[in-house]
Amino acid sequence: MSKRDTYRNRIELLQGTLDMLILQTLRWGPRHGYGIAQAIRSGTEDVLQVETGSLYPALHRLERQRWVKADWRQTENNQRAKFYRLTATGKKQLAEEQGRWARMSAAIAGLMARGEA
Amino acid sequence: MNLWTRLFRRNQLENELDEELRVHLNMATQERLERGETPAKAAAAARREFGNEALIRETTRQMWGWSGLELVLRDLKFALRQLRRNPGFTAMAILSLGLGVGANTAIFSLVKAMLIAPLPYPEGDRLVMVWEDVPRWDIPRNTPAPANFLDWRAQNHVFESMAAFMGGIFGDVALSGAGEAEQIHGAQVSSNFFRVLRVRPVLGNDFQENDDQSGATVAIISDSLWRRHFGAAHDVVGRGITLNGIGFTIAGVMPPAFAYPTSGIEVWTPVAMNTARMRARGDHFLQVVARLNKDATLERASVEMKGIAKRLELDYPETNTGIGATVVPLREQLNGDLRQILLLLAAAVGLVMLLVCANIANLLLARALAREREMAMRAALGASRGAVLCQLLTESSVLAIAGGIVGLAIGYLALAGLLRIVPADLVIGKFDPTPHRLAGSVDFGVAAFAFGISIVTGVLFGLAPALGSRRTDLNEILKAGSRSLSAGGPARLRSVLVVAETALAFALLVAAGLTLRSFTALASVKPGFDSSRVLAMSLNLPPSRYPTSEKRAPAIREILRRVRDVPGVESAGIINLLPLTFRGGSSGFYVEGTPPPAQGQAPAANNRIVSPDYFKTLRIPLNAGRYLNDHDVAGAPLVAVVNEVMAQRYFPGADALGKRFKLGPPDGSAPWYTVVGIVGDVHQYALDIEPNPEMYFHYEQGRFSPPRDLVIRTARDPLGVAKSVQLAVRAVDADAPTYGVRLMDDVVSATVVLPRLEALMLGGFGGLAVTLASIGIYGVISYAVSRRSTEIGIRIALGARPGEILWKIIKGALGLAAAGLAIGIPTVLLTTGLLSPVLYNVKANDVTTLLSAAGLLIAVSILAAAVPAWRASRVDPVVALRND
Repeated sequence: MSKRDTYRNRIELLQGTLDMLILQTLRWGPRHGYGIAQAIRSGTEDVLQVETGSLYPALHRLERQRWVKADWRQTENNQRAKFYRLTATGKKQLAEEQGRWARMSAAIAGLMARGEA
Repeated sequence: MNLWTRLFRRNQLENELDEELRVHLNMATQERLERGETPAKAAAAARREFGNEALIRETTRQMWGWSGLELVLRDLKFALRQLRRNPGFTAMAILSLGLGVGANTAIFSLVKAMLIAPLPYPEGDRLVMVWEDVPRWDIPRNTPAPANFLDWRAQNHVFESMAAFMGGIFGDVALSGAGEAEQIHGAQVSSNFFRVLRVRPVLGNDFQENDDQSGATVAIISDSLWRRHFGAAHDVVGRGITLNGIGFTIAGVMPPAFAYPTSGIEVWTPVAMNTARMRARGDHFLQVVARLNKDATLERASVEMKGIAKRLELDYPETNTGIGATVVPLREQLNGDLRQILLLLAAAVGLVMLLVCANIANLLLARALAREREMAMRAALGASRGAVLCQLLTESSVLAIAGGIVGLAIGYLALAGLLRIVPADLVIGKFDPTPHRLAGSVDFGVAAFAFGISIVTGVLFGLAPALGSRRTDLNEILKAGSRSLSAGGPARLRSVLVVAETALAFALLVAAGLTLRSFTALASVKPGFDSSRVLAMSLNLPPSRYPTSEKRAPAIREILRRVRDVPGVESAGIINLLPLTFRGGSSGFYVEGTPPPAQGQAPAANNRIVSPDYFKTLRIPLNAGRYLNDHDVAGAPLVAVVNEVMAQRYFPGADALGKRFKLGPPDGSAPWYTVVGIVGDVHQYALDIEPNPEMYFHYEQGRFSPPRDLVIRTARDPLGVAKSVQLAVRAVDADAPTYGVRLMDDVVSATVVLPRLEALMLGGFGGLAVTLASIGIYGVISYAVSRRSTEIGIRIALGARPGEILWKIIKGALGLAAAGLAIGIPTVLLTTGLLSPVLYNVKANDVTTLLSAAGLLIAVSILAAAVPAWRASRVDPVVALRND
């Protein structure tokens, strides 16, 4: 399998979850790509590290689905960067994803708990 | 990101992505620096963490995606760019498609309108014309005698109605009254004429049932005459109109498009059926149109009419022996010779379309081969088969649509041009005779069909490269280097196509060659007179005021005298029926001292009434004796001049001078005429009909029909004297209209209009075919040369001379041409017989034509191969070998 396929598989594997995580990080205001990666990283105590090769395709996909909107602004360090922010549909999508995620993790947790017993 | 940005601002998007990623990298590095790492280490670590930038960019870019419409637009943009980049290929493909579609649209529009579309009469396919069939005079469609018509009508059970009329020169009348007299086209018709055709006047009434008994003086006029002469007045019915000096009352006005029996006809009057002339069986001058019963077929009608004619032969042996009957569908009658020509052109233009398809396929395959590497590369880089297919489909569709549009434009213009060449008389009844509609009658269905063919061809062969690329493997292709990959497959298909093109081109060339030879043979036929600098013009001395030749003679004498005095006029004559304008006007005769002919075997000759100067004016040579002269007038001994054919065929020992003959049967009461001169033969009927026996009488002594056609030989410009001649005639009789002013040269060339049209069209198709075939050969050969440049380089390096290389390449082209001829020659030999009916003086398997066509194709294929062959012979082995 070529390296490129590895990337692809990972994107597919993570897609739903990664999208949810990204949308989640944008709840408290616009962020640029690096900021989003950092937020996910620090938010999960360094457990989840989003690779650049997954992050940007995901961001551009979200943008195309109109769940986020992007524009170029200055950072605190006076650097021009592309900032992403949640749109109204993005917020709705996030709520749905959260609901689904809660059900799924509860279901998985239940199964795992039974397995332990 | 809106659609516009995505489609047309891709560059901007790319730049933004670059910057976004760069900012990311910067931030990562920055953070590491802030953590105290050394700049070098920080940069390296950040980059490592970042990953493969190119790959990130690519996967991200994929996320931009393309919607269906965007995909099409993208492909379209790319296709247009590709086509722009290869202007030669593009122009060639579009032009050949355009020519194919255009030619087909034009020809098949005409075919459909003339041969398929219904006649403009209700249930027009049940209309027929009925003629006398007179094998002994070689006239299969002779105008019936009135008494025969009446018997046909009374005895048949196959026609629901049957009408008779006298049209053409027998129906034309002088319209006088307000202003100058004017000659208009008219017809004398039986009362039921319009009812047979099922067309009613739009204003006023049809003729009454018995209007044709005594010949009521009522007239029905055309829409054009109504507008021109009566200002479209709605109270025109009941008003008067003067025709040939007789007052008529207008009964009705016909609808605008109605034009039967001839185009431009403007007035219909009842024929008088109860006169002695109408009870005659020996005088043949009517035309008959009839409508088949609901349950009658053409075959049944034909059988029944022949049966009736047979009975009439028994009942009236003197007049009817050898006179049969023949039934001709009205459409066939109207189309005449055009039908065969149209079918021929349709077949030819179909072949042209096949050739165009082959050529397009060839061009597209050539491109496919050239782009094999591109396609393989696309596939290797992850383009799906569908994407490649879509892309190719778009390209060929763009070509096909462009070709189709160009084709429609060409078709429109070609049809307009065609209709200008086709004699108007042949187009009546099929097209609204107003000019703008003529030009606009490209048939929509036909155009759509031709357009469809264009699209199918483009799409079908446009896909070939994609299908070819299925097997290709990037490795193979890249390894193959500059050598070709698919020596078989598409390349072989191309050779097959070129062979087919050559065979088709050969067939078209032969057809073109044959018709061209036929036309030149026809055009070089000497009509028997000298038409140069001769003006012809018709003259109507209304029979109401000039009922007899005694009454006519002084007027004619005076008119001829005044015309001769017009400055620029060298001589002037008059004849009843101008050569090449009328097929008929013959009378039976008996030569004194010969055995009386068996019943129905009496010889007949064209009966021509002339003035003495007629011969001099048309330079008809005198072979023996003397011409007619001014002393052969009424009261003087009756004399005649006969032509060579009549003298040879009907006078014992061909010695006609001094012999006597009379018109009608041996025991008839007609007077004897003495032959005083023998003149050269003139093609009276047509250039491709051998001259018939012919007799000439002085207009004061002959009594067939009044002289009508003036011929005027001029010193310089015939048309320049026309006005003065007309004034001279008017000075003699202001109510005798002159009309039909034309050059005698045009009278002659008008008879070869259809053969010329045919030769022109087929010549054009042949030329097109050869061009397309040579493009095909050029393409295949030059591809072969580029594919084998390495091999050629090695050969040259090993000492092959340029001449040998040249010959080797040209041999390849000759092989293709030979294969094409091998298929083409037998095919052509088997089918060219179909051309026979339209050929004059050329055999359908004419060896010269076949050889010239083959020679031309071989020459063209050598020429087409010459450039690539020359290129091959100049291959620099060093360059060729290094290229690989």
